[in-house]
Amino acid sequence: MASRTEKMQDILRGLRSASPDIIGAAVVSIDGFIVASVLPSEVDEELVSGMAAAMLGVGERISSELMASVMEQVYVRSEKGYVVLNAVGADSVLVVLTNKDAKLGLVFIEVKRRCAELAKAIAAQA
Amino acid sequence: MPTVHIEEAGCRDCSLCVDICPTKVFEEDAGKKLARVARQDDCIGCTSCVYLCPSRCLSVTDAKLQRPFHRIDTDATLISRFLQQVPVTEQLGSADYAEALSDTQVRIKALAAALKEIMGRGHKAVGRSAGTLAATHMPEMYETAEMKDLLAGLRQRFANAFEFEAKLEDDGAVTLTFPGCALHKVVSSQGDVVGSATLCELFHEYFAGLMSAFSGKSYSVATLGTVGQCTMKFQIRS
Repeated sequence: MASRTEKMQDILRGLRSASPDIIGAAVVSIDGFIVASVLPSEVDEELVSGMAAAMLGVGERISSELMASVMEQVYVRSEKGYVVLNAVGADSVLVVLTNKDAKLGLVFIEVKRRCAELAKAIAAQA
Repeated sequence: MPTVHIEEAGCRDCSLCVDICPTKVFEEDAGKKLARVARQDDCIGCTSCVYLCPSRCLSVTDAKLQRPFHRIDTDATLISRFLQQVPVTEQLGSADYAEALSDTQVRIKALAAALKEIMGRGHKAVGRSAGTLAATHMPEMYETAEMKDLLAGLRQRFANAFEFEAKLEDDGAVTLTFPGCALHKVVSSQGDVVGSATLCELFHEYFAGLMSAFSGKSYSVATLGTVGQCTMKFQIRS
């Protein structure tokens, strides 16, 4: 029986192969640990995990303070592409890296679908 | 940039502005028996001159109002003593250090509160990152990855700040007990709960970041107890 990490790794591989514009993905816990990852080797996973957790925290604060609402997603657009962060369950975040040609609408649909699968995987072995 | 103006008709050449200005903007014009603005660009807009001028002939415009630190004699005196601008005979006493410590406690508590306010739950990741970054400034700690030796090195490194006792488990977990942690006083003096205050959480994660960086393993931390002394368990995350 696959471990929780292996299951999540499979989901992330599925996400990455859904579109050639998706460069990599990772699931990070709120306290800054990588739970599962299919990121390019040149990416510093520790840095990504710390920043993703921080972005989740800030996103939650902004949503709460400015919109009196729960955060669903943060995305950062850069010259070379996008970084999309989606909350997964109560304590994790899915980080997705895409190139600049990515069709965001399709990426968001895929991300939403995978978040649901990831949340189930996390809850199944909690 | 602040603009300083002296109304010459009112100036009585008392030189108070010349003496008080921290950046020496003013000079005395001996011929006219007036103060004059000699270094306009150096003005920092503290408005010490405005407050002190007995003739009220000084004005400072386009300046962001500063806290009138110059009017708080005890602050100015303490600062000048810490900067060693006073004669050697006036040494810093325990009351001075107590005041400086109190001020520092307020500031680090404010910093921790600001981090939590802005980062929300992400503040722990910031604490861990601080530990990872701090590790790069202790290159000698990378000479060994053996936890027993690492802990001995950390104990020596932080000997002047705090002490701790360590217990190593077979599964690689480490339990650390900090008798008399300096943060106890800071946290409890601000009315927070020792062990669960934001400042405590930041320090715990900072230490986990240090241990993870040096050992090459990923440690998470849990607080086991805080009565009298803080006990924390660092476990390797799989």
